[in-house]
Amino acid sequence: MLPPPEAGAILPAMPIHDLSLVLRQLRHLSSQQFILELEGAEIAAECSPGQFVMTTVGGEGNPLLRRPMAIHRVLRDENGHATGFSLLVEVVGRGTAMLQQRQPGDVLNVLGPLGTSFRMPEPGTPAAEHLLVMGGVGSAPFPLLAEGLLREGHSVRAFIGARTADLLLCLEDYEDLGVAVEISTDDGTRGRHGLVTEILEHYLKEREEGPAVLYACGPLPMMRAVDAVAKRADLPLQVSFEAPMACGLGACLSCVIKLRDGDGWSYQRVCQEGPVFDSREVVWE
Amino acid sequence: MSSMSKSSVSLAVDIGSVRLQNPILVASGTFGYGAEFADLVDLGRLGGIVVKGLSLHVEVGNNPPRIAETTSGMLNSIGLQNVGVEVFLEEKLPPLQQQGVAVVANIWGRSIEEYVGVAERLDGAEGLAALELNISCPNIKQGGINFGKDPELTEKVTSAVKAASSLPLWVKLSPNVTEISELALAAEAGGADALSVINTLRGMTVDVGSRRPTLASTFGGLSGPAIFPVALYMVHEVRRVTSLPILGIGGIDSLDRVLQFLIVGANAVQVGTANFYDPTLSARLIDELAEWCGDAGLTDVTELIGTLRET
Repeated sequence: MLPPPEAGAILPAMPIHDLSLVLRQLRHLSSQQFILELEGAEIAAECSPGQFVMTTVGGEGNPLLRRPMAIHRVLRDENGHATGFSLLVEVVGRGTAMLQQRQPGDVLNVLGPLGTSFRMPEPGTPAAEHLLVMGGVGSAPFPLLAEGLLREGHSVRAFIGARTADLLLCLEDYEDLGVAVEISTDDGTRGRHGLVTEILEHYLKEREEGPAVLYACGPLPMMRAVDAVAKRADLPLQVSFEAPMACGLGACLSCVIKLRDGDGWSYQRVCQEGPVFDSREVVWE
Repeated sequence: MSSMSKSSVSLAVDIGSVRLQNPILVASGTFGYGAEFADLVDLGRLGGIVVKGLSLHVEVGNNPPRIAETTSGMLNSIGLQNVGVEVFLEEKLPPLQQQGVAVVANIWGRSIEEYVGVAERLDGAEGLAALELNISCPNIKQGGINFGKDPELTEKVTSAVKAASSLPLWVKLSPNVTEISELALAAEAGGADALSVINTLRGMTVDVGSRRPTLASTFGGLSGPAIFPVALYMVHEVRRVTSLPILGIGGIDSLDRVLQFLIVGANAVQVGTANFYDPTLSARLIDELAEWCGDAGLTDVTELIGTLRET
């Protein structure tokens, strides 16, 4: 069994960079989803799975604030050296809609890597099954995590939920990595007709006994449901949160969520103590 | 050429008895306790760091959502969340002291007693250059009226804190008043050593889909480039009635804004919301200011302060 992740996981002692990065490529996945491939070897080489960046979206100061985005993949040259990274984005408002209009060669100001990473199993711990549960654009940090886990010889399985088949994300990443995938859609157009937590629970019932670790990122109701599943199955769960934030550096105090604190709770920053938290530390309301 | 002229320009300014190495500070609530920016900014180069507002006890803060973006600005309603003065002294101040930067403690309270309590606790703390008084807080003992909206309360809280501490006292004025000059005079009468002008402007936005306020606490404080002309005008108004040093605050996003504040009579400025989206701006402004002064033939930045010409 893995040691339980500590509250707030680990903050890698890597410096934060503020860089002007050239957009190499923008790949449209659907009318609302796209992948940005950015230069930025420093961030790519030093980031850990689960960390994020704050990026400008264009617009000359309007919108004013950068947007937080999980690092999706590290891009490497033929020698395996990190040369850049990608972001997986869904249009949710004006900022992400502006980002969708960027062109290769455009420059974005990017701050990172930021926040805590997923806590990886200690080297030498017995093999466990690592189950990644994702809904919608919450898929973004998981290909990098899957890659890291596979590199260490762990078994990885992805549970992907979406409203409809066309909006399923990261399928090509998991195919590329050789990760087994379970799918659910709200409208039944692909995989199981229902919620991603249902395919997760079904899988947990059918699987053979043995250690397993859960990871989840997606809409709040989904993460809350995964937390309930994890508690019933007595499995550790790490959750990755998103929240509106102005700075990403821990100064603005806008991205807070409630974490258990002694007998009560306190507000902690998603950008600093998170975005990855031990689900047992989160006050789910 | 420019590097020669840059090095020969003196950027030092005096805010009363406090000498700052340059007039570019960072504003309270936008720079944490400094350490948050240490990877990106050489803290020792800044004119000063005004830390996140401190209260006597830990403050939990408001429910999220706490921010909303607006046109060239943002609303915030953090609810004064902070670690409390004890944790500040034990954990946050010592690393800042080693940076050799002027540290200004922004303080607030819900009663005059609370303000005085924080001020007394900070009195004598090594490495503090000044106190900055946030008077945009409701006074729970007098029907919740903001100290900063009432000249009498402003004078009262200022003189009470002044008596409780030997540190220079800067009073941060609220713009949510009819005549800011009246509040400036009240703070001066209470013994303020300098005035920070301005705090955020009150505002709100609504999510049309849900018809609910975007912020959980309904309203918040507007900051960012959108408020710059208001802030500049208020510095101008305050400068007309007092010779106290002024720290200009509001919407600084470029050297041009810094220069405008200095010309209308601010002795120094505080960079605020820009720290969120352009975290290295403050340090760049120091270089740009030196270069601009050199190119303009100034040997001392103070030659620029208060040089607004009549129309």
